Amino acid sequence: MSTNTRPVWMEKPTPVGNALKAAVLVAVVAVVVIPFLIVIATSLAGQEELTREGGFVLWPAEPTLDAYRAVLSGGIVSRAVAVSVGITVAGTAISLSATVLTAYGLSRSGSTFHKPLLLIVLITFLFSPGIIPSYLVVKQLGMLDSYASLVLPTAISAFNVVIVRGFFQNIPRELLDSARIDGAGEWRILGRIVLPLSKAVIAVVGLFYAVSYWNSFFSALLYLSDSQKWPLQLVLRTYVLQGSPLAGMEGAATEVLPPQQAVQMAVVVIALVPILCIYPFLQRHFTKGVLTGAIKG
Amino acid sequence: MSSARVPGTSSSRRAFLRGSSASIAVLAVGAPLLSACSSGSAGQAATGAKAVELPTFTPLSVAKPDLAGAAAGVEPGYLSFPAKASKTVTKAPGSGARVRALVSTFTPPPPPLAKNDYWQQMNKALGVDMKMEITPAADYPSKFSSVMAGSDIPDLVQAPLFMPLPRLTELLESRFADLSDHLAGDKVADYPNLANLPTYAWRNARIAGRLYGVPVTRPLFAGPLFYRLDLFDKQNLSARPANSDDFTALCKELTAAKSRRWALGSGESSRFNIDYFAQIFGAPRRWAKADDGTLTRDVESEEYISALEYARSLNKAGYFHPDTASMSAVQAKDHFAAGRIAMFADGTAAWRAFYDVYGARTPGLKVGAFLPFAASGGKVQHYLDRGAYSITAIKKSDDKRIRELLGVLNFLAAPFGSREYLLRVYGTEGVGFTRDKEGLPVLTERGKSEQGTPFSYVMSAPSVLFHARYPQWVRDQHEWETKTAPAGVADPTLGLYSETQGRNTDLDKLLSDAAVAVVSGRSPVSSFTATVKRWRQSGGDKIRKELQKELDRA
Repeated sequence: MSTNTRPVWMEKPTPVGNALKAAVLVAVVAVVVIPFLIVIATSLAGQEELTREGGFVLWPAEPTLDAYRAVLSGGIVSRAVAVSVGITVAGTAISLSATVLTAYGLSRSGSTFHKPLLLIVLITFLFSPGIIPSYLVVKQLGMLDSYASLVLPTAISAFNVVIVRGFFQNIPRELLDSARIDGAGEWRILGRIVLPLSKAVIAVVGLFYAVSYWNSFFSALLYLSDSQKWPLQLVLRTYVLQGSPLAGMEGAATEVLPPQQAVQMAVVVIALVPILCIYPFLQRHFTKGVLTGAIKG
Repeated sequence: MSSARVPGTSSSRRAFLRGSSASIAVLAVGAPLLSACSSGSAGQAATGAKAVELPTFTPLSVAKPDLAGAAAGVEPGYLSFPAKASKTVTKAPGSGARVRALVSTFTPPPPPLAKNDYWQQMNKALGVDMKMEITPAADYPSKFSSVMAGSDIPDLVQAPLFMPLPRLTELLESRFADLSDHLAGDKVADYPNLANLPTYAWRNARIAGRLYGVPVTRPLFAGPLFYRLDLFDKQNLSARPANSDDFTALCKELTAAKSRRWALGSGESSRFNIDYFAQIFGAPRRWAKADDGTLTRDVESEEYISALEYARSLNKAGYFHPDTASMSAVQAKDHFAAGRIAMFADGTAAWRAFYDVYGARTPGLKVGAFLPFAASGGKVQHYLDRGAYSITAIKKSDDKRIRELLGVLNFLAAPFGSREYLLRVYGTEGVGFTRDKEGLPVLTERGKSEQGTPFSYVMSAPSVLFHARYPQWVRDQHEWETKTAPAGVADPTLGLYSETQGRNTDLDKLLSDAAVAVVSGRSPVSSFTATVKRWRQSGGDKIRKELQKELDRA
């Protein structure tokens, strides 16, 4: 190949080309950022403005914290945040340990009951039991109306087991064999060699679990009867799904209610903030972790 | 519809898609599981037995209304809050035992019992230890199905009438107490507040000929077409069109797209107000019973097709707000309050809600409601609703327990103006509410959040018209109800249950989607008649046969 002709993408970019690229990127960024902006802005807007603008604003002319006050008063949301954080932290820890142990065991082809166990794990890929059988199993195990029902039934996800297992299988056999020759037991191999190498995939799977626990409301809906134990998403759902604020309610004297749209947007902001805070810290692990299994060998 | 997350899956996309379809599928699959838990008795209840008598209506006059109500569904109106609150229940109905109630709620959850003065006072007054199992209303169907599948049924269960339930009759017979011996006819006299519940509400509680619950009453009339009275006055328009041509002319006057004003508009779920147009064109309320007893569905009538064509023409002329096919009900209401939509159809409870939510912020807001008129200028009609939100069923128990629970429901149903009503709706004076300078109870911040305890969904009083700040609305709505009552048209199949209808929730969606497609101009009217034929073949005729059988039996 002649050294004079270079591939197009290695040429020096023209000003026009640069401008075009900038325009496209700005458009894409706008499409992503503007909805966020609207959500935050609407949560800070007052009712007159919302009625004037027709439901959504790009930036409130008269910002007010009424919607947040309405949502956060009463202590219900604060308690729900505590419950959600607790479940996410405990759930992620339990899920990660269970998933790593399962994946490690299943990544070594000689282990006991290897084939049947792998089959059982993979069968859960095909279909899930459904609402009523899950409910009956949880009921019979005595977990109804307890925090355990929010964590244990969904502790291990076959999808994540397969991801981690794939990664473990890519760790060179020789490394583990040499450790065994040096007298290391299985636990030590796992703790000292395998896990430090797997930081990326554990971060990714950990984030998958954390987001899943943070967002889950359906298990809480089904298994909890005490509304004190409700996690954040379920409480916020009641705000968002409120039709008319007075649906079916009586009551004589009333007061000025915070605008529906603003309350709903405030709720969305409260539900998003914790995850948005954690994400940047884990981001550096992702570029490596996301490619797990994509390139073999 | 919520995206249900089925337990046992992670948040991966594949699992999510599986989950949402699986959960819907399992609700249908789960139904046969219900039979595994039932006593196995055959589904034909009271074969050959005549339907039991409804409880005798015995009105209570605790507080005399300024505007009298009527049995035809007109709510009594109060222009001032009753000064004296008299007792209707002399002794606490409970024996201190624990009572579990499964209810849905539209509000955020209440503070815990230990911090909830309202809950504690209600427990004391009722003489029970009430444990509330609360579920957001949108998710109630899943929760209800799961709880019924288990064997641990709560004492009081809200059986929502708007939920299609497969094998409802068998479920009620196997799990819940038949209350006919306690409530039918004059036997309800033991519970005077329950006898005060209107007969049209009790009709919902009679399923397969027996009484299986106590109704939570709601206003009887289907929602009218509201309009901005202040805007009409400004343009000197009359809200008494003689026929559909007058109405079209009215729409033309009200629409000025350049100034962002449209005559009509609705949220996506109201589907271009098709039900309202069906009403003014004389289509039956869901089903029509001919003189020989045969049933025809509204979509099968000529009048419904005419209504669709009319709505389509209005849409084509641009009289609907452009976002009608997609916006939410809340957004549509905002447009109505801002004057961008001049006429808005909503439930009867919305009239008061407009003033509550928008009154203070929109000066000069005046909302009126159209009186019934007919497209042809002839006989008018106004649709009637079920008159109840749900029925509260009582678990199968011994006689003593049932009487205790009925006593609890009796307390909760105490009418407007009674001491028990004040406690249930406001809480205790000084804690849940304070009195303003006119003596009206005003909820405190604490009272407002504690009102999230859903006693009112277990049982509530018959609705009345009262608003401290807008007595003119009381007069307006009372007058509207009085004038509309003679034109009331009910669904003749109310209270009758069809197995196929309970199983196939998507049949109605088939019809409503087709109707929206016609009105929005996407499909021709002929496609709708084709859809009706499909509906008939996919289950419509079967539903008709089942309802016919029930009708002949009743």
